[in-house]
Amino acid sequence: MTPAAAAGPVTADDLTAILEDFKRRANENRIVRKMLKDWTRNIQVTATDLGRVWTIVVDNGTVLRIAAGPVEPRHVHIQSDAEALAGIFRGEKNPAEEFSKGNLKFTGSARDEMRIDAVIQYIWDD
Amino acid sequence: MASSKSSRPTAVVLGGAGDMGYRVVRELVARGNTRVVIADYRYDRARRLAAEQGGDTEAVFVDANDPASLAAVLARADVAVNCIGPFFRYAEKVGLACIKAGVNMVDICDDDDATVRMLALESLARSTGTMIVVGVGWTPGISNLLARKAASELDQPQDCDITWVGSTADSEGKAVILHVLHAITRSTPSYIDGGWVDLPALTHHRWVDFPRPIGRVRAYVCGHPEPVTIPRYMPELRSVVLRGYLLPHEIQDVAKAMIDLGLLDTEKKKEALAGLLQPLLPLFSHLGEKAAPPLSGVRCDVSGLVEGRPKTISYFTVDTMDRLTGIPPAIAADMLATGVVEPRGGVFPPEACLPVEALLAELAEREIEIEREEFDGTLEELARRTREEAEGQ
Repeated sequence: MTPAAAAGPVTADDLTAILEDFKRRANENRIVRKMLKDWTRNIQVTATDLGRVWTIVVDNGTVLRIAAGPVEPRHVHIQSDAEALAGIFRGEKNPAEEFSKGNLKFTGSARDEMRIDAVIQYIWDD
Repeated sequence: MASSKSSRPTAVVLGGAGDMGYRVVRELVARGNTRVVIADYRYDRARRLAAEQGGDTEAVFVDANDPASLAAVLARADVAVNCIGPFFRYAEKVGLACIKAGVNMVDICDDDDATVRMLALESLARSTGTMIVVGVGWTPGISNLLARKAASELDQPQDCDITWVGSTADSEGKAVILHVLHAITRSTPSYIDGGWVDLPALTHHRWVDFPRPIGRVRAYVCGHPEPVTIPRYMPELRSVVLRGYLLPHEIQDVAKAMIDLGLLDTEKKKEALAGLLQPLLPLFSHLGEKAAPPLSGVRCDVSGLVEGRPKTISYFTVDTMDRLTGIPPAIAADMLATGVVEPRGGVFPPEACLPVEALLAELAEREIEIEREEFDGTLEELARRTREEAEGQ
């Protein structure tokens, strides 16, 4: 079950729960697993307003863990406020739209960006 | 030869630091049967990739426009894999260098005109006893093997349709963009009723089904080597037609608009436009309601007769473009280096010289899932049924 949007501001605990749910869905979704095959990346997620950092650790196509804090080497960095990050990882907000509105900063290769965009959207399909 | 200096044969991956070449390098290193040399024009990138691979993987500079540079690199090779694209520009240069050096080579050439020029090197390759295997990627490559496999299940194979779908979210290499622009802006050969005919690209549409998330696409004829090579080695076929399609769906309109505006009518314009398009790929991948999936696919339908009745056998796969393109040539090069495929002089497409079942089994080991369907009817009937379903949607 997806952690529901709670009333009030998004907290660090909310984001941890949302990212853990993202991990579970990614590992269970057949199409997403295909997109991630052979992929190894440390994707750092920073909630700029909370000053908190998580790392989605993808190892050889599997989301291994959601680490509290940075994991080196950092391959990709996604930065936004907690509200936008929660919306994106819950599938309620489109990351490309948030990027074009200036609400999200992405650092990494174009190929990684396209892959992460697609994973975030297709994770809700199965 | 490098094998005299090392216990393992040396595989030189030309363009090994590139968008597809890096995958060939990774696969060869993981297989462990060869010592891998990454030869690339972008030496820093090659050096970084070599460091990531560890062991005795090495990086060297190569300039494919300089025969002396190619010769120097190939002097160290027992087998070579050419990933330097676009192939309409580089396949023949590298092929000639390998033949002169007497180094067996596998490439991922995906241009029909370049393939014709490579096949013309046949007698030269035979004279030096060099084996050149042309087009061992995703399409051509996996597609040719699937054509062979599907045809083997029919008493009398007759017609073969191959369709690829490539996603703008699945590659960032300029050579891939140049290849697509080359493929969609010319009349290119299809094999129909036992003869080759030139058909204009972006015509002769057919609705074709792929597994999710690609789904159903309205593919069109474009320039690719399969209709050039397959009829030569599978003369029982009376037609071989290749179609392609790009994701997201909206990119078709963009391509058509660029052609109509005259932006793609010279090689110089295509080169300039490819440079402009490359950084825009992430934007293109968002043209649809949903981001384009970073996945590509190929489907091969072969129809014919089984016990006198029409039947169509279809094989298809969906995976990332670099895996589909980079894993097959690594397996083929490994087979050549280790003697699983006995080298013989000449230029061959995959359907002429590679062990189909063994190669498909190796792809399955690497989790490239090939699915199969069959239909009781001709290819034309299957195409009609898919079209009616698509247009009734």
